[in-house]
Amino acid sequence: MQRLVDLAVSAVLLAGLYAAMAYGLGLVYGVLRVVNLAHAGVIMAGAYAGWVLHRALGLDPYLSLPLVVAGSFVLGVGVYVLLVRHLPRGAAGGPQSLLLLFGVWLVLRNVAYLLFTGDDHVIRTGYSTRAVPFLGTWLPVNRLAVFGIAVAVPLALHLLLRHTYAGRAIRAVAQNADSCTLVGIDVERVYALTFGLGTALAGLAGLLSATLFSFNPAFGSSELLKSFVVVVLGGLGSIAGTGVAALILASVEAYSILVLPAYLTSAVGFVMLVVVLVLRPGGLFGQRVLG
Amino acid sequence: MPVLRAERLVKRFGGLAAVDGVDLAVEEGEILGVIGPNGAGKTTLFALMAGSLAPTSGRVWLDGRQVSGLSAHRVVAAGIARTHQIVRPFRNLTVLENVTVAALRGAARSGSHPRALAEEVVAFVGLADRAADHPGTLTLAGRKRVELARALATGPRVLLLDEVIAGLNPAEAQRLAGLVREIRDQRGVTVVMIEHVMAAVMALSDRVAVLDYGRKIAEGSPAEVVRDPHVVEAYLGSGAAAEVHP
Amino acid sequence: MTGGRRRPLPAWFSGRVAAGLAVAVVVLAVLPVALDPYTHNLLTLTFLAISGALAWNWMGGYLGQVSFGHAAFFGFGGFVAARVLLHESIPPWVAWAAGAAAAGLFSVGAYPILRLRGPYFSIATIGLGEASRIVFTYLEGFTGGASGLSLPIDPDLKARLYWWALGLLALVAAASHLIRRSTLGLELLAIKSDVEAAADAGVPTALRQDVVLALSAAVAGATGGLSASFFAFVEPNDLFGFDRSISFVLMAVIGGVGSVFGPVLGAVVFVALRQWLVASYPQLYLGLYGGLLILIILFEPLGLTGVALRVARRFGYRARPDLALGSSAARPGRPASEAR
Repeated sequence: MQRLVDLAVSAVLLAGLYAAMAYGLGLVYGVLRVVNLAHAGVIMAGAYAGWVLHRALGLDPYLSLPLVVAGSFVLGVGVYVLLVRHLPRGAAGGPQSLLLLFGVWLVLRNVAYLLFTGDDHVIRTGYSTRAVPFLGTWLPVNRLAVFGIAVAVPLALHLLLRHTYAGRAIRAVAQNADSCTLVGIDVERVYALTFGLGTALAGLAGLLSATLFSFNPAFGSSELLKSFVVVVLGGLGSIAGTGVAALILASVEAYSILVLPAYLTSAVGFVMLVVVLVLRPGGLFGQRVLG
Repeated sequence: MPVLRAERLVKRFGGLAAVDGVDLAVEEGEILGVIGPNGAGKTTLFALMAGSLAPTSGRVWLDGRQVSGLSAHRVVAAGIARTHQIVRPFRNLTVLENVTVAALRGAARSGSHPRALAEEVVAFVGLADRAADHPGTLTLAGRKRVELARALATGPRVLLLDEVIAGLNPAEAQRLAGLVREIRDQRGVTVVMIEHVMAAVMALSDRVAVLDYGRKIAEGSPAEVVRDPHVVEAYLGSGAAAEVHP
Repeated sequence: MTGGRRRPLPAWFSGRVAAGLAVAVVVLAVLPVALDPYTHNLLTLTFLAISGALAWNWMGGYLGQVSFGHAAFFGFGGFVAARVLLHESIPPWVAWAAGAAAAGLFSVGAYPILRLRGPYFSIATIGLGEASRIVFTYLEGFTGGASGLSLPIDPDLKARLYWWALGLLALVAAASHLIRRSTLGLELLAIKSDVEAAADAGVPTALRQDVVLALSAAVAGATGGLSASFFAFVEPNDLFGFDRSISFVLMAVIGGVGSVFGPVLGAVVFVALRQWLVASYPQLYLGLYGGLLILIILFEPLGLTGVALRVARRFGYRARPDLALGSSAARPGRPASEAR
């Protein structure tokens, strides 16, 4: 029984991180119709950025958060302006943008490899091992903080999208870019902004992950695929759907340890990805164009 | 016996019934017009009959053979072909290649050679001199002809035409209407056509069926249908019927 | 091929292409008398790489289904072949054939992912590949787990692999050309362009995609089996690895997706570049390919084939029509709303 509670608690804590990763990916897809494979690379880059700031400047990862998020945002805008902007969007540009951003991911991986070698790293702080008691289990302080930030940031972003002009412009472009051009919204700027925001969330998720898990230049690929699971399950632009889907994924992963050999639990996310995609054939994000 | 028959067809999307119990009987060799306000369920009805969508309930029969529930390519093999309201040519293929893809079915049916059949159909729709071009280089009217040729090349018994005339200038519309009539007269293909251009429907159709809110509200000769108070009401709003026909 | 038989001289049977292929095969078949062992082996690997790239292109180029999971088929074929190769009484070609058949069957089991199109398909194949890697690493009884399986070392067989690989390549290249020129190729390009419209034109879209994936997977499985013999060692994290899946994508895309010539060129460049990089700059391996991918997508969607065509045009040489046709299939379409 206590085991089940432990697993539930760790699932909830992990779900926050999944939600943050997925929200960024879903935002970019929802507005630009581009599947951002470079998301994985930015998650990895965020982890290294936090690690470098911690090592070189002694900056606490939670203090370096704004820096890493801002840096990822700039990186995202740069990738959009320099590369993605030049491709056709939507179904026609699907394979092109996928491959292009895949190339970006490979380059990011290689840069990390050149700078930091292929060794595993992790960010260790004074509070890394602290924990507080909760429901008969111990909650690591760091996990709680990660959960809190990972939930708060997408939530805040979601509110911004609802209540600011820029947010409304983004949502309008997601629905119909052509009409937006007609009413004078600068669609290109909205795209750049959206790509930047999505990428910033990837950087955030990467930094937070780095305080929990070890990472190397290949880090991010399974995080990317887990983000897909969440986006597919949860639907686009729904913060509640994203949260629930993240919780489902994290729970399935956590509880699978009860029925599967430990080694196989890492395959659970991938299997879920295939199953979820196949069971929702109408489209990745649950929308279906009706005839 | 009608060549194509739909029996109490229903299609629901969520709670909404896009097609709500439609019966339709199409006689061999006729041109049946299907009209109705936007959102009346006309295109959904076509999708159900062409196998693009599976009906929630109800059946479709072609020559006494049930075709509802079959996938789209099997419905084509059975003898129903459709065109799309928004043309969907294969942009990576030439006009002739576009039609050849469809002619693979038609040739299997008639025992002719696919390429020969495709060339014949392309000439029939008046695109012989554009056969080697890509559809993207054609005008809208040209692309609609490609769409028509592709459906025709499958060798259908019944052709479902979704607004092949709408959106064209009057001269082009005239020519395409002529083409539709030739398809029936010269090739013996039964035609069901959704059309917004009333003049074309009235001139071409032997009979007209009127859809509104997913139901068939009237059916008959063009002259009968335009006098039907339900139809006037559907198009002009309630109360209008009383004013037009006191 | 469908419908091709009735013609007196089928249009796809271009004498020049067939003759060119035959000459190339004959030259390559007698070449080893003049080769040092290093080049001999490098060519064997190149033939395998080209075969794999061509087979990947049936999916990625002809059907427009970009697979990031071909390592699943390569690996499964490789391990099935390896298991058979462990019985030394069985002739090796039986093992490779078994690997190919097994990989083909494996892909049939994966058919639901073919109901997905475009990026959805690509993402599902990443999941398929990675799930295969983990599951097969776990199945130690079959794959030997993370430490892999060692096969009996047979230098004679390794030398003879050259001709087996060449034979496979000749088969796959001929098949690529025939598919491209046949009505089946037309149907695949139609599916690539618009799967629903293809079904409305009577193309059995699901069946066609299943068959092409099975063929593509079988070839990937055969190359897996042959390379198992070549290295006399198989290890799941290598054979099923994501980098393996990526190599299929890179070879075809760098060379130029859609045409027959593209993946051949791409695989040759890929293998040559890899040899050079591994020797001189191992740390630049991924980034260089990534950069190349970005440049190609941005500036020359037809890959090196497109570059070659441009150069040829500059020198006043007109492109052969089948190259041009291949290119038309790969050119990015304009968004539908714009072209309507």
